[in-house]
Amino acid sequence: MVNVKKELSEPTVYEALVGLTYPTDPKVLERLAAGEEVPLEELNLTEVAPGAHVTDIPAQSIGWLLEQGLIRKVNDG
Amino acid sequence: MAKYTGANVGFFLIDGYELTGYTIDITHNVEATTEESHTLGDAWAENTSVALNKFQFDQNGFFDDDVGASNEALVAMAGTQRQVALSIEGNTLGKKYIAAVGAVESKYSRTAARGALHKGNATHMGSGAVEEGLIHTPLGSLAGSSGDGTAIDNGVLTSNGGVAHMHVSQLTLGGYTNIALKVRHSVDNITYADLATFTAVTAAPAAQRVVVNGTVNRYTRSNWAYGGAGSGQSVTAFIGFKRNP
Repeated sequence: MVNVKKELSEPTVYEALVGLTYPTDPKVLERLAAGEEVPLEELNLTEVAPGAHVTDIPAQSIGWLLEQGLIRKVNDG
Repeated sequence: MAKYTGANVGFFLIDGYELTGYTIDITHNVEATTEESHTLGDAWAENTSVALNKFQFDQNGFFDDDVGASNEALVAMAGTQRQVALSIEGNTLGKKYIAAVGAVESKYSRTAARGALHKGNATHMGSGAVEEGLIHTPLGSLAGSSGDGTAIDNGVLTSNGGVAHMHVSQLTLGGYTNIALKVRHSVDNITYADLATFTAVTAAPAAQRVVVNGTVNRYTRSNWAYGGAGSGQSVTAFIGFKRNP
């Protein structure tokens, strides 16, 4: 129970090691994950500079970003 | 496969100077050096490659001494290495362009003749490779204070790096300090990471080439953003990327 509480209150923090950009709108992410071509103007992209700490990287991207050394985990959430 | 005409020439850029509107014809030669290798006893000539390639750009066009026109782009540059980008298939996202980073201007001729417009013709000899990439930002005006290009899907990732090219032919900062141009890549077409970052540009004309190593993910796209704050800004730029196979 303690761990569940921690997950809810402290999301995992990642440090961007290069510049990143990604959408955060769940509906847009859903459309992209389904393979839909979403017009750029609808993506409402978040820009992240190298060195920034973020918690909102799309879940489906975290694996390859970690694997390629483009982000690193700052805490375990 | 398709045929093309002069109307399909999308741009002809030298160090950021856009010379399409001054140019009558361009010939781009890539030549493999060979040596005659036949010997006594051979009935037919033989030629063997010596594994040395070279390129040359020959351009013929009009002499024009306006600011930013053909004469300013070509005069007094003999012996200088220039960055060249040429689109002969159309100034369209995903179309091929030809780039040469080490094009040494070997000759510039100004011709005046009776009953004819003055001409300004140049030859550029190769000093290095020719690179053929895909247009990520067609040469044109980029609106807003930042933006992203449309993604190009290579189908698979590649592992041998690549080369990014950019030319800025016009820039008004309007109070902004610079404009930064990039090529980004992605595995999933959702999150993009910086792949090639050009040095921020503060004046036009300008051209740069950036080499990247290692993995280039399946999707690539361009990005631009002004630095600082301002208004009334405008830029005309081209961004391309050549993925190494």
